[in-house]
This record gives sequence, C-alpha cells and structure tokens, in this order.
Amino acid sequence: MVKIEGHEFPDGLYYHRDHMWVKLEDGKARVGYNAWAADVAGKLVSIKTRPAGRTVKAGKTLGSIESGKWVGSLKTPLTGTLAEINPGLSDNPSLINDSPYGDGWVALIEPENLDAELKELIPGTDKDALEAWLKEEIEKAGV
Amino acid sequence: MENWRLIDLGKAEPYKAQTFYEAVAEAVDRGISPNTLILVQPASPYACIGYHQDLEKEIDLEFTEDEGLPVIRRSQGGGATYLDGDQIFYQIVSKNSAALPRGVDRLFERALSVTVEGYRRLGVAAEFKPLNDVVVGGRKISGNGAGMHGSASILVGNYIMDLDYPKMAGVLRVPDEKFRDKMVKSMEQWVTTLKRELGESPPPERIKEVHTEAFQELMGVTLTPGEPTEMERRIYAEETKPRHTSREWLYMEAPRGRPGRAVKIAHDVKVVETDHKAGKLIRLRAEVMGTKILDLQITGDIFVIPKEAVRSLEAELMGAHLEEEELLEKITRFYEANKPQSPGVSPRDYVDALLKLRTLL
Repeated sequence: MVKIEGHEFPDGLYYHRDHMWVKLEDGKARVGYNAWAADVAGKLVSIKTRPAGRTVKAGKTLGSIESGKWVGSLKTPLTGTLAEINPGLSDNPSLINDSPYGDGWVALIEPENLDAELKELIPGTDKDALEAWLKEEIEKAGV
Repeated sequence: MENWRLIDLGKAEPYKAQTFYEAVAEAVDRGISPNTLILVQPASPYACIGYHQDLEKEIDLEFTEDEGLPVIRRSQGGGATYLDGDQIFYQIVSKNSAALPRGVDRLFERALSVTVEGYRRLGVAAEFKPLNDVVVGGRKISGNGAGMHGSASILVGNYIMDLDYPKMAGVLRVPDEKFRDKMVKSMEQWVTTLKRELGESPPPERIKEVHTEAFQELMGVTLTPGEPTEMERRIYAEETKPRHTSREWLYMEAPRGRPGRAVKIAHDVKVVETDHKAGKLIRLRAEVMGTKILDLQITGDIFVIPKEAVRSLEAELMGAHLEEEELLEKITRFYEANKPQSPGVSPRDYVDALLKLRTLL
C-alpha cells in the first residue's frame, strides 16, 4: 500500500491519470475512483453511468458524479464492454467516498485492448511515478 | 497579473443566459479563448433543472406549459429552480488559472468570496457558508454550482434582486398543494433577496460593477471587456444550443434515487416527504435543517385515539434530530406518558418512518 498526501493507493492496482483505478480479476477489470480524487470531489450525492452492456473507449466518459452542486466526469481507463455497474451506488453514491477501493467500485469491464492500455496506466507498485503524478494534480487542484 | 476577458451579455433569452458559457468553456478547453467572466441577466423566465435530476419527477410540466416557461437542464448539479430577470448571473470559465483552484471546496470558497464582497459593497451583510452558499443572517441569497468541461473549470452563480416565491414553488412537482404551500413558506423564511434586505434592489448595472471590481481585487486578475468570438458563437449555435434543446438531453435518464420527495430550500434546509408501510401507512412531511426537525406533519392511514395525540406527537418531535436513539427515547416516553392507542402502529414504526426521511437528506 502506497500512501501519498494521506491518501491510500493500494499497490495491487493500476491508476489512470483521470483518477480511475483498475484491478485485474480473471481477465476482467474492476474499476473505481481513487481516494484522493474522491476526497477532493467531496461527499458524492449522485452518480450516473453508461449502462451495462455498453462499449466504452479508454479516456472517454464512463459517467458523471455530483457533490454539492459540482458535477464531474468519470473517464473510462480501458476500452471494452461494461459487464456490470455497481448496483449499490445509485442509492448510496457516497460509498465511493467511504470505500473507494472496496464497496465503492464503479464498474466491471471486459477489456478489449488490455495489454496495450495497461502500459498507459501507473502501476501501484511504482511509488515515484504515483507521487509525481499526484503532485501535479494537487497543484492543479490548488488544495 | 492574469488577464481575463469580461463579457457582458446584457439581457439574454433563457437558453443563451443559461448555456452560452458552455460554448465559451469549449473554446477555453480547446485553448482558443481566454479565461472569462460572463455577466448576464435572463430576458424572460424559465425553469432550470440540475444535471442529475429526473425532469418528470422534479418539474410540474403542466405548470410550466400553462405559464409558457421553457425548461432547461443545466450541466451543473443541484436542484430545480425558477429563474428570471430578477437575477444577475456570473459565469466563470477558466483553465490553468492560479486565481481559481480546481479542488471543489477551495473553488467555491475562492469564487464566492467575490459574491460575498459584492453583496457587502451593496450594503448587505453577506457571509460564505461552506460548502457553496452565500447567506445573510442564515438566509440564502445566492445560488451556485460548478463543474468541468474538459479541462475548463466552470462556476456559475447569481445575485438575487427579487424572487417570485409562488412561481419558484410552482415549477416544482409536488405530491399535493399542501406540500407546495409548505415549500413557499419555507422559501420565504430561508431564501432572501436584495429587495427584502435593502427595501429596494440596486440596479443591475451597479451589481455588475461591484462584482467586476471585487472579482479583480480578490482574484488578482485584470478584466478586459470583450465580446464572444466568432468561434464561440458558432459552437453555441451548432453544438451547445442544439444539445440543450434536444429531447434526449432534457429527458435524460437520471439516477434512480430513493422513493419519497425532497426539495432543498436553502443550504441545509429541506422539505421532505416519505411513506412508510407499518401495520398502517405512515406519511411524514417535514421541514428539516441538517437532521433537525423544524416542522413535522404525520398523516397516512393511521388511526389514533385520541386523535389529538398525533398533533401532540408532532409537537413533541419539533427540534428533535433524525437519530435513532433520540427518536426512540422521545416517542417511547410520549407513549408512556400519554398512552395513545394506535392500532397497527408502534413507537418503533414511527422511528423507522422518520429514519426513512433521513435517507432523503
């Protein structure tokens, strides 16, 4: 587990620069929103995603989140088909804040281009790369 | 010092007032327009819903049709509202600006420091109330929302010169007219205006002037008056307005949400209603501040002897918090002291119904 600026980044995951994490599970990829980004967004009150069965493209919109009248996008970290959307989030979007890497997962993707796209993500074991990226994000956020 | 553009759109028809800034945001995102502050006043009234809201659940479409009000879905969050020429909008579009942080909390705090200062210069003792409210003596006097458009950050808000409270409540879909009456009363109590605070609102030009001055001073930027570019006008005409006038956008599927109805009046004040099926149906309607009950009505299929006991229980729960232990203690003590008969409904059932209200907050 890497801890940066007080926020956890489990080392078994991969991290997309638009703040989604990826966990590989038997050929599929479970994805969610990282702890730092969830904290900066604030307590989430709404989430909307593309439905299961839809194809998604890396870097494109997976859905939207809302906290206290701020709306932001969730970007897909991988290209593929949405196999499942977390059913617990529609009634309780703040699961993403409470358990960003556990119960607050967002979607399960059947990836099409995993090997190539995984190279674009930051491995959780690469602490230096994670720190450099997060430092940049913190500066942009002004927090 | 950063140089920003100031666009004064004057009075604009509703779609332009509500959405032109998105065309500017697209241009800022592409790197072809500078950071911009837009000031605009709607030329005519309309209803506006938040990005994640369900249109048919939130808006009384019969009312908006009767009144001839367009309904516009904005790209920012928050709740449904009625907007007209008695508000002045400020719309901040920026990218990579040291003046405005991207972190949500800091963004609101920074941007709304300008609104607070603007109100103070107009003679109103406004204060910032986290997360994103501007209040006067606890009453809301500005509505604000934010979001991202690609890499561009957007924050929109308003100065409220005057407010048509019945219309504000009229555009909202309600379970019944008593709920609407409750909302009007709550809005009158918790939402204020320049006219109410000062007796008469300063004119729009004065409001824009103080906001512009405060913006430059507090943001540390220079505002240079400018006009929308040809590209921004084209983006608006070919992308932004068609999107916002499409049925697909307006009737966009919303997150499911919980059963019941909750209308946010101001900061943490809401009017909420829910049904709970015990042995009998318990319907609760309440005005709450945070989790504190300000007002409560208990109805439904319940049958209580004496019937006055329901009103007494409502009074007993005024000021209580929607916390299980506190509610169970108060309601149990009420039953022990007054011994009402309520076939099919126990103190625990009332607690469960009240906790269900809490899930709507």
